[in-house]
Amino acid sequence: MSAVIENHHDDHGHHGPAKGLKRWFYTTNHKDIGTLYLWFSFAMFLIGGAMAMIIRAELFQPGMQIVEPEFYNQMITLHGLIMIFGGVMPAFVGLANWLVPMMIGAPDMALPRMNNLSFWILPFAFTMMLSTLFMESGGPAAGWTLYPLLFQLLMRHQAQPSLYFLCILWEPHQ
Amino acid sequence: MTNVRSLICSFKTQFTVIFFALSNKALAEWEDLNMTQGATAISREVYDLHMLIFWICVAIGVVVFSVMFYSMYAFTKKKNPVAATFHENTKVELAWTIIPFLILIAMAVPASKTLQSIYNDEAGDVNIQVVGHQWYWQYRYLEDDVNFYANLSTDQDEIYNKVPKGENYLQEVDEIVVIPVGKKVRFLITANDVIHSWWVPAFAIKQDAIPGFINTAWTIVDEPGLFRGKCTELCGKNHGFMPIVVKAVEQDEYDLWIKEKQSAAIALAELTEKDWTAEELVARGESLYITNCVACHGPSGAGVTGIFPALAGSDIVLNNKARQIEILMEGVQGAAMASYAEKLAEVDMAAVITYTRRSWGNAEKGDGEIVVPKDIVEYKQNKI
Ligand code: HEC
Ligand SMILES: [Cu+2]
Repeated sequence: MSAVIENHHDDHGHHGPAKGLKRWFYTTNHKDIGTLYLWFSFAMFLIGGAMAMIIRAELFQPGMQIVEPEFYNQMITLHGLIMIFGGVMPAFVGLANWLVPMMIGAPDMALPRMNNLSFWILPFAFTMMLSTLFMESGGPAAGWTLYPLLFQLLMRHQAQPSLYFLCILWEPHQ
Repeated sequence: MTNVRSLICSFKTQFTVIFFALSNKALAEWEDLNMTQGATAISREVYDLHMLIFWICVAIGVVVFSVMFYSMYAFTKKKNPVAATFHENTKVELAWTIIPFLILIAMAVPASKTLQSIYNDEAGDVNIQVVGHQWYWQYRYLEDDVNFYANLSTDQDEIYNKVPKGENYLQEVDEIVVIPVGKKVRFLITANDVIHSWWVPAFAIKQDAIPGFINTAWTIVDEPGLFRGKCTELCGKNHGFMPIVVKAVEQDEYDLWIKEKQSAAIALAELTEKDWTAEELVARGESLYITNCVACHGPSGAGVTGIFPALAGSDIVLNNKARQIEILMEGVQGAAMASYAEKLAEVDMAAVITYTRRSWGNAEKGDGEIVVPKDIVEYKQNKI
């Protein structure tokens, strides 16, 4: 027992959350994690929104304006995937992380370490998904519901569809 | 208090002025904004349903928002410092359960009636098989043995803004579907490669075209007219470039059209017998290439890197006539390259192959051999 008390004294300087980046990487605090989700969602909202701007700019006048049809289809597909899985869902999760423990009077989320990891999967998933845009045959172009048959047909020419499957499969873990 | 009153009062006058100023013009433009009434009994039923449900929604919106805004206005903390303490109110709860239930039933009854008549798949007087392809529609008149393909006929230069756009930009095709007025026309809708959807708003038909399934839709058009539609299921690169044009005509005009179609098919078959020169074939092949192949292989045969191979400088096109015929006749399994054996008559098949072998410098780089209609006939015979 006394050893514990001793330790407690030694640790005095290290109380409170870690500072700087470490705080956000290691945090198990539901409010910090909620904030991470909300900022992530905001970033995705901007990226997905920029894609929507490309779509609208293309449609601003009839005729081919600024992008080719293949790239246009990639934009509508990624815009849908990003807004739903990167924008709306993480925003809800962020709010829930913030509010639910306070509303039910719990000190934190259950399994706080997993709560942290659940968030940090997201940036990896979306980096992978967006990286397909820089590959030779471009990003997914079969609509955000990945229409069957069209999706399979495009898959024959693209190495990466397995990538976005992986990204989407990761999603539910949040 | 007076402030609010005068505000509401000025809103009222402003609203009335704006409403009357707009109403004449608005009514004229309403038709453009609103769902179309279409050209058939069913499409008018669908329109009426749409309006019925729209006005029900408006009424509900007015009631709900009135209660909400009134409460926000009448029960502020200032006016009502002590909050009410009651819990539950069985009468109100019963009312807000039963009333929406009744409203839903009231909407479901007429809607189901219309749906039932839409999903009547008994044979029509005219039965047309509609097949979606990447990216054109195929129509087969089952009784009359008429079969054709409707490709977008808008000029590529219009699409790429090199010339002004025509009136029916992206809404025009080279072969129009003709149907008789006053007769039941049944469409049997399916697809050949990916999912498409056959949509003609004037008939209130929007039916998915799914490979391996046959969906049906039907219509009876009362008056002659021209109706336009498009594919409404994302089906790849040229999804926006496979429109539908249907023309309803009187019965005798329809019969004449069927006869013309049948004799045109015979005339095309006769062209196979003719002796063709390379120049004639290239001339005939150019327009065929533009309608059938440009979408994937590009206007100058350059293709799309990684997806559609270039035909300019392709080893097959340069030196392997036999393999090229085989690709065009059979398609490439599992790839976007479909078989053209059905779509192109023998003479057209020969012409488009010869065109690719003689264009973009291919004649100089390769063996330059041409393909004549007899080669295609021979290929077909060897296959049997
Ligand atoms: C829907 C897109 C599409 C259309 C339309 C299309 N092709 Fe193709 N074509 C392809 C694809 C994809 C391949 C590659 C198939 C493979 O080997 O995987 C191909 C391959 C070919 C090849 C073999 C080229 C090579 O070097 O391997 C020829 C020749 C060819 N097409 C000719 C035509 C002609 C002529 C037309 C018009 C009648 C046409 N294609 C229309 C998609 C298309
Ligand atoms: Cu389509």
